[in-house]
Amino acid sequence: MRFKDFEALGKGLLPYLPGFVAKGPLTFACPICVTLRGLCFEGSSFDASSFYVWVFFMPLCVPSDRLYFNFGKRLRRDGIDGWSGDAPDIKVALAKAVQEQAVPFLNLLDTPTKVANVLRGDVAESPTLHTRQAYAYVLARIGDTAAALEVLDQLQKSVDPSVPWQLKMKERADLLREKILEGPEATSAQLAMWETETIKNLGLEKYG
Amino acid sequence: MRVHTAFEAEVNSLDDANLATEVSYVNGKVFARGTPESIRVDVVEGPVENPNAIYDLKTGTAKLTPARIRQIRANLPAGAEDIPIETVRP
Repeated sequence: MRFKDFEALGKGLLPYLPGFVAKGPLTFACPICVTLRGLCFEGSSFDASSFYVWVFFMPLCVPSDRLYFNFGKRLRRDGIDGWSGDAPDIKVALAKAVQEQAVPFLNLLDTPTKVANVLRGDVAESPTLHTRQAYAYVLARIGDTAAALEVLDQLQKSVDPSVPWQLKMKERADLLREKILEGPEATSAQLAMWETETIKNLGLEKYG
Repeated sequence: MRVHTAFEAEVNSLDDANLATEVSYVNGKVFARGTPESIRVDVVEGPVENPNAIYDLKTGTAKLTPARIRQIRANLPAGAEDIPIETVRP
């Protein structure tokens, strides 16, 4: 399956996703605000006609140069996460999965406060470094700086500075902490800068 | 490739929502196929962002080498670096 095939499948799903646009493998809520949320089609190495469909969100104030799916899940058909582009009922089955699995997930994420609530649940259920980081940043983004500082503390205690990517995560958390202590304007400016950077890295500037 | 397709069908036939096939990781993050520097594992058991076990399909005499295991572990989410990484054969 090629990007144009995925875009065509995404376009076919737009009636079930009002306000979304399809661009290549991505079908996402537009305009993008604080969070990128939507679907992403992913090809398979096992079989040229097989693919996966992620429903996911990405808090854009957490700097990233690529799309990632830590905050999401794959749509499944009868419990299976792989889809076959050759299946005669592929469009109908996808539409059903989107309505039953993706829409309820995406509806929980249509405001930054709701995103923070979902991340709070994720941290409780699966407190990974990336989840804690995203929760802290989104809390700062919605102005709950006291809670953000608390989560940043937990994050900084959990990182292993001997691992390069975790050290980078810690250094960025230190910077955000400084900005929070400096005041709301400095915090907002820093988060807005990271948000702009992420949107640019993803090539989605015109959808902001 | 045909073996992988058969393997995928076999995993799918287990009808286990706790299994995911073909998942890519870099530095603890889950990425799409083909992301630079990513490692792709054949099967993940448990939540992909915090897996419980990894299964790598090997055919013929191919083995899961210590270097490959190190590479996988280095990219799994923090906290999941010590999970079992097992070979599966068709």
